[in-house]
Amino acid sequence: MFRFVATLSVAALLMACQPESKLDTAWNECEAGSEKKITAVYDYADFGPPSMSGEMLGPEYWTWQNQGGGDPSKEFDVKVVVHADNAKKLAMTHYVVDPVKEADYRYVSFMEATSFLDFNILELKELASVDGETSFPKLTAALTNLKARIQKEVCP
Amino acid sequence: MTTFSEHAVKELLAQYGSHADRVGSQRFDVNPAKFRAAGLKRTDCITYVIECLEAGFEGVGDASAKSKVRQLGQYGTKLASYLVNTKKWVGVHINPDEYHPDDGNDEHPYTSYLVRKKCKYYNIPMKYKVTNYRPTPKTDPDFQQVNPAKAEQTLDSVSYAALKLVKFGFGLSKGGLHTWLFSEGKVYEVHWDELPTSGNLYEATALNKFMWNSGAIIVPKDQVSKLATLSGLPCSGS
Repeated sequence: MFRFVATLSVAALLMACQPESKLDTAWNECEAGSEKKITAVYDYADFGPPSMSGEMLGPEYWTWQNQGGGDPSKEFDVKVVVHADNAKKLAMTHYVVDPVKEADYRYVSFMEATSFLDFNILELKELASVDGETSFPKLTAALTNLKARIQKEVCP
Repeated sequence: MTTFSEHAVKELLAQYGSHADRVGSQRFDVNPAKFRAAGLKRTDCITYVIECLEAGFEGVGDASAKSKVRQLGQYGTKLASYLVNTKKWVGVHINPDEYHPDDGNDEHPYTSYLVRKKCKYYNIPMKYKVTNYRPTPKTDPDFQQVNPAKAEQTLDSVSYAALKLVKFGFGLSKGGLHTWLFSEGKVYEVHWDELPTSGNLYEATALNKFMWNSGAIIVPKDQVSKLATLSGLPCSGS
């Protein structure tokens, strides 16, 4: 009996230490038997430089600040939640912006994200065809890879 | 008659030279009561910009612009757009190496690409560019990280020398992540995490040594004639 209670207590303790999202993932299911989810989380930098993505995502520094400070090497761990097209409220409920925890999320629908990526990949490819020396090959490959990941991981 | 820029530079140098009554905003916000009791005022990069612009507009009797600067100054890009679109200041894109950033960051060559194509830096209209004033050498580990096929750039000291004639400007890096002031070749900035005694709360750096790489300098109307020797960007219509 003691062993049973002790095992339960350890299990409860372990459960309490888990992030909430790992305890209940049912909310994020959108297709039975599919790898696709209602939301998936990416890094801000995955969407290219801020001068490319800023209009869609907002600035690269914390949402709750109006500047980022004077250190050019400072990085901000801003995340982008790509969500199914009708699931913004759900995404905002599960990924909450919290200055105290330095949790900063930007929310983008599947359609917005893939349209943004299509537009910028095409633009970079056109640039490369006009001026092969200024071609941003790594950036083009990274954006193409991100589009494939989103299509694989997020429900439209 | 004293110009806007003369008023603004007076404030810029006054604060840079004497700031024992200031403290960086991140330090201040930890214990406002303590710093207030010590007679210290909160400052940071955008506050320095706002106060110098306010001094300039007050000096030339433009109360409306002074009030607008305070109102818009929360975000550097909005303030810059107002100065260009409404007050007819002029935007200059800066980039020490247009193709080979020495930090390997796509941001810098991409801003130059957008400026060449659209004459905009984060939607702020640009009329001129001053670039390649610190070309990244072939020996740098980040050389050709972004544009592998592009050759080493040639130093453009002519455009840089022209920009150094500008007495006052408002600068932005990484779309307003950092804001600063420019005067005769130097960047003047405030670091928000410093104490007045640290010796680093206010800093002046030659633009070609400034580590933020690409950005923009917004030049007041009374200084625009100093840019006359620069070639205008084709898309700006000049």
